[in-house]
Order: sequence, then structure tokens, then C-alpha cells
Amino acid sequence: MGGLGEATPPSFSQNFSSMTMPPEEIQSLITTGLPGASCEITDLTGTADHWSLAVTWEGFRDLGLLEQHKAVMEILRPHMVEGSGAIHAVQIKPQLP
Amino acid sequence: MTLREQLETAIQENTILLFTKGNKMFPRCGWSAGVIDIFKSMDVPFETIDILDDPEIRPTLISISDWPTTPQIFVGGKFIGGGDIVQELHARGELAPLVEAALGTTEGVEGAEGAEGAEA
Repeated sequence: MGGLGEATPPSFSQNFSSMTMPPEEIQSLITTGLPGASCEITDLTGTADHWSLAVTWEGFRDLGLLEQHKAVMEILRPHMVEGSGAIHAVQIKPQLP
Repeated sequence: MTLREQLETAIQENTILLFTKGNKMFPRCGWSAGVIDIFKSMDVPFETIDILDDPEIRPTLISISDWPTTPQIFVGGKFIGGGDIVQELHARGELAPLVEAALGTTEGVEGAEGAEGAEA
């Protein structure tokens, strides 16, 4: 709630789209990072920054729950709080094919 | 003691420690509230550290756990996961045994039969 006094970007729409990430782009990050995976994505809040990702991947088979989540999280990290911040929050649902 | 040492000490000294936004009484994030509710329902002793108390906590915590989001849950000095991992462990009935083992109790912990869903 910074108020209108805070630097309003010259092109709001352009700036907005670079702050969030289109769902297709997130899906493609996952399917590229985890070869053979499929990814169903849901916008949990309608604000394009809280996502639910149901990821189905054969590679999860030999991993524990934390490692399964890590496999997905590591791909997203550059776009989260430590990086660009385009993705604020994710819920991950790892699934086996 | 550096902040990192303080956090590491807290993790070792509290069998169940949650890093959350807000605290037990006033969670300030739905996912933090969800994990707090789970541990409350299990009726086990746990502590929370509010990452919003100090802007340095979050980056320091990330460097300890190698996990980017909040909440973060530590049991027996070990990072077990974020909010959805704990919800899933609870739903599978795997959280209670883990907590019991860490607390060193053999008594049953409430909630061992699993969660009723993920309506956090």
C-alpha cells in the first residue's frame, strides 16, 4: 500500500507484465527443467503471483517428498524472492505418472 | 552472536520450530496460519519465529534451509519443508510419527490419523 506518491512507472502495463510471469512461461520452465514432465497450473488468488503447480514427472519416483518439492522449487527460485520476484508464492503438488 | 547463530541455536533448542509471517496468536499469512493450525491441533509444544520481525531474518533463514519461501518448519533441528509439504505429511499421517520421534514421546499425538483436507 505504497500509495500513489511512489514512483509510478511510465508504462504501468508494461511494468506489470514484467513483474509477474505468464502461466505458460512457468509451465515451460518446469517442463524444460524436468524433461518429460507435465505441469498443470492454477492461479490461486487471481493475481498471477500465487500459483498452484501440479507437476507429474517420472523422475519423482525415487525422491522423498522434500526432494520432490526441491526439484521444482530450484527451477523457480531465480524468479522468486531472491531473484526477480515475479513469482511470489507457489504450492507444489508432485505426482507420479 | 550473529543472527545466523541465533537462528541456528533456536532451531536446535526448539524441537518444533516454525518460521512464519506473524506468530501463533496472529498469523499474517494464510499458509503460515495453516501450519500453525496443524501443530495446534496436534497439541504439541512448538515455537514460532516471525520473519517480519527483522528484515534480515528471511535471507539468513534461506541461507540456512536453502528454501526460498515461508513458512518453514523445523522438527528435531532438521528442516522438513514448507507449508504444503507439512500439509501433505499431515494428510498422509506421517507428520505425527516424525514429531513423536523428535519429542521422544511414545504417547500418541492427536492428528495421527491425518488431516481432513488442505483447507488452510
